[in-house]
Amino acid sequence: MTGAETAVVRVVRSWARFYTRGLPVGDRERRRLELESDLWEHLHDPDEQVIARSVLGRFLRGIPADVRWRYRTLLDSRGARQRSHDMTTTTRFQWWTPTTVVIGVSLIALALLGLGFGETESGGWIIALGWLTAATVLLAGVAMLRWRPLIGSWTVIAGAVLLALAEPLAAPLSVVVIIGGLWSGGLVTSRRGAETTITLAPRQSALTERWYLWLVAAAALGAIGFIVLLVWPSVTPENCTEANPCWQDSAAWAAWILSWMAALVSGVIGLILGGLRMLVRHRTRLA
Amino acid sequence: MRRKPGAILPLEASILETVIGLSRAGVEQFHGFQLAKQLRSDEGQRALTAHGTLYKALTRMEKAGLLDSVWEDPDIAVEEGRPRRRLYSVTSKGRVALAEVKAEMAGLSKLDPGLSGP
Repeated sequence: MTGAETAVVRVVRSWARFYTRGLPVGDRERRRLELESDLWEHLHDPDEQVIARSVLGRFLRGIPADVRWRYRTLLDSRGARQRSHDMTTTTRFQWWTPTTVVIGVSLIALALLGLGFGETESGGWIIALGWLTAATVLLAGVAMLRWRPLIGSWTVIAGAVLLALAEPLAAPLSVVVIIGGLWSGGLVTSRRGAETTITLAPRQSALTERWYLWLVAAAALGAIGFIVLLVWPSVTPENCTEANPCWQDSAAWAAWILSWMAALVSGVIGLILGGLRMLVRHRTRLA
Repeated sequence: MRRKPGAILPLEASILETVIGLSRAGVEQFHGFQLAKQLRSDEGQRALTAHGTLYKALTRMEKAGLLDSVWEDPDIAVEEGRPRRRLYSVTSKGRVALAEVKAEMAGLSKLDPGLSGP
């Protein structure tokens, strides 16, 4: 085997390990072994001439199909588990969903507030438009998660990227949402014991089931807000000069307000949902 | 867009056509790479079918009952010093499905001579 062939085979194997990770053992092993056999046959085929390029081409052109196959296999295995288990035991809460909803709502509120306070000069309306767009995409993605988990996840990821582009100081929030989106899309899975755990799309009841996670999301967002201000101390309003008119000024304050508003909204929603749940439980117990 | 249950995709029709051709030539079982080569030759393509596309189609066709597959005897693989092959064969349902696709395409090509089947 030439150096190029060795490198390409290594890439194909790594990719196969990546996209079959977390799948049921039967599907995973079959795909890997079949691919291994295919690679061997390809490398030892006397009719093939530029083998490395040919293998690389087959690998690259097959990536979309690999991703779709993985998604379909995850859905099938999830369906099989849901048929054999009680729904409440298999559905897992999407830890990142409240965070995303809160970010989306806060962004809309901030953009509207900014426009309302006349932040339309010096391109403020462009920033507001960027926030509104990012928020709309984020919330649309969350809304789609239940019915079209893959499309929803990728939409949320797109919204998070837009958020980072529209407001670089909000990049840490985007990272949280992107990780959540990858998780939900089945591209990242977790293992618990011997059985593979696949995160499912959120169900409406699950959003209220573990209300305290809203509070966790609130605390996390508040912390992120402080970290942003600590890491970029130069963007506090006192450091702005006439020579350096602070577009950063409004950005820093926006990040600060965003974090605190997110924390506030998360906390309030968490308390309302928690209170409602306790009330329902109390009434059920009485009945 | 979701595909209709039972519908045959163009690639699946090509695979059925190819494997039935192989079967006529006395090759009852075939492996993935062999099929990719045969498809390239039959379809006059420059490149081999991509890994993901090929194995996804084969899995789907097997689930639909159009193909059957077994792992090769491990002793043979060890003897020849290579990984074990997954060997596919066409089922009677696969033959019927291809005949139906061909009949459908023939009907369409009567309406529009520009259309031609797999």
